Amino acid sequence: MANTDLDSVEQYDAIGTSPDRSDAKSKATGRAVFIEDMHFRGMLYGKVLRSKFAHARILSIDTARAEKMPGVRGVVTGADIPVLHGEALKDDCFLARDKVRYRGEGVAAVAAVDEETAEEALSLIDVCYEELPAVFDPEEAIKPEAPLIHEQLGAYRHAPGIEPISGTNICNYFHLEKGDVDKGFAEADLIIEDKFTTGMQQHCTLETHCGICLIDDDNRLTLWATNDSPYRTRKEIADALKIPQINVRVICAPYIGGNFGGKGGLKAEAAAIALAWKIRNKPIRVLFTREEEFTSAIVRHPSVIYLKTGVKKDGAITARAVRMYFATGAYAEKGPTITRFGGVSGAGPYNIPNVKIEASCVYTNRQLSGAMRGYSGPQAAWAYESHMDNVACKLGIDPLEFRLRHVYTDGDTHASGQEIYSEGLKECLEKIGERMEWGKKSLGRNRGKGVACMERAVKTPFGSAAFVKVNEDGTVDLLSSTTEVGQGADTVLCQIVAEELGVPFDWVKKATPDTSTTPYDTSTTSSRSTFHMGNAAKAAAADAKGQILKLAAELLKTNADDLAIKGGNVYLKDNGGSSLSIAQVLGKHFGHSATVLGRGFYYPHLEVPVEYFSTHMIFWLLGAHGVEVEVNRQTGEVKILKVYAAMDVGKALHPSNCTAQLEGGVSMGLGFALYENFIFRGGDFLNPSLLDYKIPTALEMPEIEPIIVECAHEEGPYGAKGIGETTNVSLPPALANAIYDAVGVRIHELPITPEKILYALKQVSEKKTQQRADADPATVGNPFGGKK
Amino acid sequence: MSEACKTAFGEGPKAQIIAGGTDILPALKYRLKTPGILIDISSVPDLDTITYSEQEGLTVGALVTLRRLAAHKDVREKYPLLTQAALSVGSAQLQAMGTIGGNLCQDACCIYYNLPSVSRQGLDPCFKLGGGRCHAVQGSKICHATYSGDMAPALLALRACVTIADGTGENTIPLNELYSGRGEAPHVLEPGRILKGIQVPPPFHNVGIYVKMRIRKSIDYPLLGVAVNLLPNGKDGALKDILVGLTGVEKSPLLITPPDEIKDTYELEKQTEIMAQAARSKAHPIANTSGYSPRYRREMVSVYVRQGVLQALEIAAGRG
Amino acid sequence: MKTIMLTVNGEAYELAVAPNDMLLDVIRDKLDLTGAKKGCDTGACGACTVIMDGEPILSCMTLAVRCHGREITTIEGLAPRGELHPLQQAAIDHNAVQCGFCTPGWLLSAKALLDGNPHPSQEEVRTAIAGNLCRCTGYKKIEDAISAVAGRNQGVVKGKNRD
Repeated sequence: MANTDLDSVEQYDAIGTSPDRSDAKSKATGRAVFIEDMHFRGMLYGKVLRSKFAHARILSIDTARAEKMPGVRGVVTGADIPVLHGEALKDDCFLARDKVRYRGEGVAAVAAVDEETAEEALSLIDVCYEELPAVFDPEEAIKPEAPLIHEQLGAYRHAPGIEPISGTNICNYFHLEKGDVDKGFAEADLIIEDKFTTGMQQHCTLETHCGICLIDDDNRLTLWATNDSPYRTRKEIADALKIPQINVRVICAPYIGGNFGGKGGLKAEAAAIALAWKIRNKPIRVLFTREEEFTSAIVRHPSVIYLKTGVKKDGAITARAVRMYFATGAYAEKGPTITRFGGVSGAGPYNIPNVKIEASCVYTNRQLSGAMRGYSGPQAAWAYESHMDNVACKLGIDPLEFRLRHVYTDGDTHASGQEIYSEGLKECLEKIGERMEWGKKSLGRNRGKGVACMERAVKTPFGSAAFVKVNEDGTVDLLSSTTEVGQGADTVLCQIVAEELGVPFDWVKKATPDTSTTPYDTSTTSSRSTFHMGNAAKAAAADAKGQILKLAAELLKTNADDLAIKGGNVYLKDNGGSSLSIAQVLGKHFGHSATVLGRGFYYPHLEVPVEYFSTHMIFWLLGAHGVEVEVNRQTGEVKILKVYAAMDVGKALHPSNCTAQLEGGVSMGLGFALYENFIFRGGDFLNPSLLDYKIPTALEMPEIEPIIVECAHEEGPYGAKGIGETTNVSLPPALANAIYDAVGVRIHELPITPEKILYALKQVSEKKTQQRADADPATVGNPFGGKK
Repeated sequence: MSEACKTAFGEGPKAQIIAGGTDILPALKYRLKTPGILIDISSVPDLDTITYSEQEGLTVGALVTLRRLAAHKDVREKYPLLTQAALSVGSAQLQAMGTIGGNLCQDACCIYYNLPSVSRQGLDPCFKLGGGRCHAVQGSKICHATYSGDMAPALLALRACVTIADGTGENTIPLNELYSGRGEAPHVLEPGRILKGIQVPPPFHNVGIYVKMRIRKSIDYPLLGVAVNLLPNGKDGALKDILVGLTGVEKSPLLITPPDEIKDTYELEKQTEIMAQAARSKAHPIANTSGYSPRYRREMVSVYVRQGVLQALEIAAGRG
Repeated sequence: MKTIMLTVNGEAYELAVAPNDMLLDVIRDKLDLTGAKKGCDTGACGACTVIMDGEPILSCMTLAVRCHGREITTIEGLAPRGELHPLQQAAIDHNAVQCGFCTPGWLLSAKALLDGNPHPSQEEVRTAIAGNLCRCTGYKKIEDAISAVAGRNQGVVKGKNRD
């Protein structure tokens, strides 16, 4: 055994190094082409008229005046494209029909020769509404007397495993049980209950959403998009319009200016498609304004989460019950599967014998909630990790020790029933504890330390395919539908191909995704690309390599097994001296016509086969944060002294990109924890701008210590897993736990503002003066702005 | 200048003056304002000069950018409070574009008013938009938009004056008279009257500091801005004099002068507390910003005044 | 329409612009210099930053008619064609680029900073780019890149591939 281990210590050429990103130069010189830089002859510009009511019946739409305006080429309403689309649940329209369900929903769209004209024409469209009662809070929306947002919920088509409850606002109900919670609570010495809430967060990609759509008279549709997932989009469009998939071509812009889950589904694309469906043979562009990003794209689900944990005095956890409400807004979007993932991980990454989790995805009359970095992870972790500290505190046990005692390790059984393997979470916590000198170094007065960890599922089981096209000169095109959204996928996939094929990194280029040329990929989401597409690219490179070696073997009159490729040259393993370049091998066989195509496909096979969003995962995203803070007792302001971020990446294929993700995740987690919030008053939404919605600037960033943990996954490419959606998730609870450690107040509601801390501090001191024992000032408010 | 004034007068309320443009352009883009014409005063001569003399003090032309003002040698040395306030405005880019005159004439802000079109369409027009209601203070008969410039509190605490030109000549008034106290039109300049420059009296041995509350350390308007200008080294370490300027808490920037009772005490702590409470009693922040409740912001007024006094004294001690 | 004279990246242009045309739209649509980006269109994100007469300005908030006679540098003019400015090279070396949408803006803010202050402190670097929002990087590698060029960390600058 020892020998095998030694033999398997491989020396890599491209893997584990951090070559310059393949897109860095074109981006640093301003030459990189984004969709707003693209222009087509005859292109028209679309603008969308948006609902001014949160919930209203549309009585009539009069577009006559707008249509007559000079420069206008057409006006479209929901009646022109009376079909539904959606991913897990098909409930969404291209433009509203019969009624509007949120302020900002598209009601009509205009295409004109320029944006100004289109914008002006919108003011000439007359819409008559009959306002309906609206509901904004998920807990209000599940009450029997709540206004029904989708009367037809029971009739909508949906994916397997999704359970809408007809006649309610619940568009998916997920339920998971392990053991017997009643028995577990009966055995407990102490039962601790908590409620936590989170508000909306928006992706705030610097590039806004955009789609350019052209449909010809033969119903052939081409969509240029900022979309993260061309194949999923193609299917969604083809299903909705009832046209064959082959007639739908989705082409990604060469570069996408940020994603974080926000650029999936049909957003700006929906309006562009609706316009092009009516106005044929013209490319029509719809580019969202920053305001539309906030009002009419997607946001992170606001949530309300109740946790109840039973413990023995010695710290053993006997049971945990979790009830979660995810407010999905007016349409399901990815809410049903987010709720599923939130549910699967709702109890946290801990060994608990008796678990019961219920998670509901609830419609409200707000903008759509959908995928955003963490995909339920930030909401779930905010609750279970704040709760873990609270439980540890009630028991008088050190919170890190409490976690280390219960956190999953290999061989444990997950709440979902799956056996845990390749779990590096404990190591993440241990490393953070070491670096923070946990339990040793005290930071002083009004300062504190906090730690939190997380797990999140990777969407399973879904496939990815790649082609590796070796050109006549030995350079390589990687054809893959993974989108480069800033995460560095192009670079890491090229590294994998270079490594596997044996060519220099800069010989490999990844093609821009285009459903007519690059092969199938489910999506660039869920931190799945390095693992899934990495495996596909690796397999495709191996396939190409096999073909080249076979050709070389004929020339060298030897066995392919005796040959290897390194640096773009084929050589005899025994005799490094004699070699042929790939170009020579191909040239000698095919003259100037040489090409080799390697094919690769990866699909995770699980013991429990499921078609759609399994509760068993091919891998888990795992990580932990440690935070050191100082709290100002006069103002309630929090100064973050340092953040420690440890993530289990399996294997760091590009270490610098891993730390880049860790650092970027801290900024997004920090925004969610401290600054970012949607301000509502009733139906009014008051901060739809980058001035009033506060994403962190460079001056908000604390010192960060990134820690890469490598707990290899046997099925991952070179052992790699995923990282992107791990990096923001556990920061907010780690921060809240540090604040508690510093000044003894527990914040239950995000974001953590200075005033929440200040008033919680005052409550504590008032309580102290009243000689009361319980010093836990829960400040549970209503983050949804609805009228209670 | 007189040409600009005459044009502005002739056009009446249809015309808007544009200097750096950083305040008016978002309002134009959001269609909050639809002026018939914009009068660009950038070609008016001598509006971009800074002069300083020991006798006259500092004179700054209205078109001096905040970045230039902050970097000017005499300003940095003699009026560090101004440098500090200018560098707290928006971001580096906004400081490079925005002018001192434009900053003083900045329009009042309200989260119900400064909204792009789609989000605004569900709201009836408010007073500031020519309508008949205030969304921030429901039932109110007046507009409560909040003055949120950073330079005014600093200049008020420095007892600055401003020169206003009209078509025929010019007059100089104390800065606080520039402000109307009306949210819908926070300064008193009628069409045809243009802010030309600012005069700041010579510095004595005073020390100033500007402390700004905001959610982020850049880009943001103040949720509260406190400028403290004090004269230390009174009897037993007490203050000889103190002025406090406030922004972000009322329809105008506020100048807080020491109440009479402050003269009865020679205790620094009491003096500070009197100023802190005086400032707090005049501040009436309302729920019309994207950050923090009025209750918290009002409470912070006294906290920030105390902080400002302490920091200013630290600077004074450092100077020896 | 009004005719203005504009020098962009060292080249003189005579352009007819409408009174409400923004400089950003003019350089993107009329000069095809698309490196400057429209991230918010109201001066709150910095993606449209260009340098005008040595100052970093927001081109989405600058009326083109008011730029007559001015000299403008965009990302395309940061270095002579085919070459990289040290800041661009540092951005690549320090892995400071992710989605790339904010990159031209912060590079120009950094250039304006270093032109006036060749050896800024870390705080000055962060203040100079605080008006350039970035959602991907957490700003750390951006700061590293600028600081490396500033020479502030000479000798201890993190080499590429080692961080």
